[in-house]
Amino acid sequence: MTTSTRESAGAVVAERPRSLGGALLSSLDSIPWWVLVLAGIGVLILLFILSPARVQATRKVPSLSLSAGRAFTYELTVRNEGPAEAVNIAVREVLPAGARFVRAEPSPEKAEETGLLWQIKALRPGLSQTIQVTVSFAQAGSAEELLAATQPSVTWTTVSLDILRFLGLGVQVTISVTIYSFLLAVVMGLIAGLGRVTKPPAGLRSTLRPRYAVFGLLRVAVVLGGYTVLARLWQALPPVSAQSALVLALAAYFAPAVLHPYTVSTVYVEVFRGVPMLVQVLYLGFVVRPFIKGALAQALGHEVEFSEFAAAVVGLGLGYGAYIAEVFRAGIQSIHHGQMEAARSLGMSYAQAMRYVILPQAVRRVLPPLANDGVALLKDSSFVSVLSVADLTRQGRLYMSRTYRAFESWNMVAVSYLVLTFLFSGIARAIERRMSQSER
Amino acid sequence: MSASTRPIIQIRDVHKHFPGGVHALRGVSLDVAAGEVVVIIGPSGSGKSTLLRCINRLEAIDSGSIVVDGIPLTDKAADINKIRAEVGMVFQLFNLFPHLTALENITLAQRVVRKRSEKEAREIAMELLRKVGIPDKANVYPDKLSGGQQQRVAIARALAMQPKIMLFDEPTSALDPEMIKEVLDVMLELASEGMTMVVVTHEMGFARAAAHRIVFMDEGRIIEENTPEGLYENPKHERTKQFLSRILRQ
Repeated sequence: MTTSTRESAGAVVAERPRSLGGALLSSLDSIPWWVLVLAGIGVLILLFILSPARVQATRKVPSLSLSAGRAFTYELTVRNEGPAEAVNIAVREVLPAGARFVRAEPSPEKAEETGLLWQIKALRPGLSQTIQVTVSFAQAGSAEELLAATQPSVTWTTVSLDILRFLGLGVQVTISVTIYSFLLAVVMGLIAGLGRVTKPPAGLRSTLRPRYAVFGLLRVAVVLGGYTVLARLWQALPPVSAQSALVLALAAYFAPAVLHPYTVSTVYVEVFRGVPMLVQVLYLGFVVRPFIKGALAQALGHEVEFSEFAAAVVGLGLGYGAYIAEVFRAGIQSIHHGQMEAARSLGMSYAQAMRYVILPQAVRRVLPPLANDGVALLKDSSFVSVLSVADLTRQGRLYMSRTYRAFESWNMVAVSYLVLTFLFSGIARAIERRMSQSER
Repeated sequence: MSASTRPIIQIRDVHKHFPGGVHALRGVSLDVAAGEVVVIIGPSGSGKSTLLRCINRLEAIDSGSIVVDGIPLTDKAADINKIRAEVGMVFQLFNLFPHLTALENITLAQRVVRKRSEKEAREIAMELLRKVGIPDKANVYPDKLSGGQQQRVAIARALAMQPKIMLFDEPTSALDPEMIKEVLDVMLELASEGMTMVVVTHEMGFARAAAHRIVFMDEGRIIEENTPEGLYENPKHERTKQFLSRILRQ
């Protein structure tokens, strides 16, 4: 029964008349609309980047019969045939042998015996600029014929190519900032994530319990006594003052309750998650960096290299490490507790069970949110432009302030970020696919 | 079916509370001799699984003592990983490692805990897979195995550590009826080889065929223990009678 219904349905479909337009429309129909929109934007951007400009320089020489040494003026017309705007135009006029340059309007950037050079900042398509050149010849003859021995030449570029060249450095810096800080963030995130899944300590109230108090006071005695003895033996140590004794005693008493992996990693996550990324980058660049440089210089007696690039990487990496720690924590906790029990029941230690059983599964699960944080980090790497790190954003702003081309600058910066994030997502997807293949 | 008299597990007056005020074990004492097969039955929430999990310290006990193979579990100095390696455990939900093949599931702990070479571990694993009847599934991932096959891999994984004791926590209750037998057959074979086994199960056929002793637990206490025949045919306590009548009617 069912097969016959299916066959008749197939026959109906086959009978439907098909035209080329219909086929095209139905094939378009199967593509998601946002892909079409993105493809359209992509084509427009490609047109902008790839559309060339054609600039020509031509002489308009008056028909004159010259006697030797007589000066005359001709026009040098620089014209942009389009379709794109030309920028950084350099016009070179090479004078033939025997010619002598008298003057030009506008006057050239460079005037040597071999040639003249004008620079034009920009020329819109369809427009031209005229230069009046006055020369004289040592020999007599027709002006046209005398000049015909050489030709003027022009070099130029388009706005998009000019920006791209300028942004190239920015792209490199942005990529390296992203890679270094992402690696740091993943390492920090893994460590802090592992700390966050440990059993929380009993809390500060437990430090008042008799058992803790006895051992705590014992630790205080050992530390204070040890320091006193050490300070006697080694004169370089500062002697015990009331303040330092108090600090040491407090540290010795509370250390086991406070220096728990859970506490340390929770404090790390809460602090770095709670401070805006921009403030963190500024803090690393303008507070931590000078402080460490100063301290190291004092300790070692010479300046130590600690670049703003490194400060930016550390700031971004520590900040994103806090987010990634929570990603790893969620991943580890999402693995069924039976996995840990099975591993432990086979005699594996907690660390072995984590390393061989829990983490391999958790890492696969956290890849999508990890890629998410990677893309977010790539975008937030624009914060490093507040330090003197020549990343994409900084280069874009620099180009804009040089040329006042805000529209082109920020469009190209945005597109560059888009291309980078697309690349990043693509790589993440490929890794994800490979990993899920090896699991199934 | 002959059990020696030397107790390999000694449980004395064990109490266990769970957070939230549940008193799961209320003074349980039990001896298991080497080579003995003990089946624990009881209604859900009676503490039978908890007792089993205490034997390899997956749950810590609050008071009392458990001595496994001469080593007290409550001793802080005892290396719990060493004890656990001697006590194999099979779980209700198998708990195979899904990112590893059946073979890798069996070789992992051998290499990491027993420090065996890859080659040696694989040989032992293949031998055990033959023993549980699925050598052809060596390179298959767990999610491509049936429940019965997964549980047999889990048994092989525990046996690969060459444990002295095997604990089974309701090994067949998550299985379809037609797969129960293939797992029970493996367990029966193990029992006939003289393995010390503590089994939480309601499979009366298995208990009758393999158990030296059946322990009935309720509300955290051992109510009654006897040979299978003695307990089934002549239960002494009212609670045991009630429970058995409900189980055997099914």
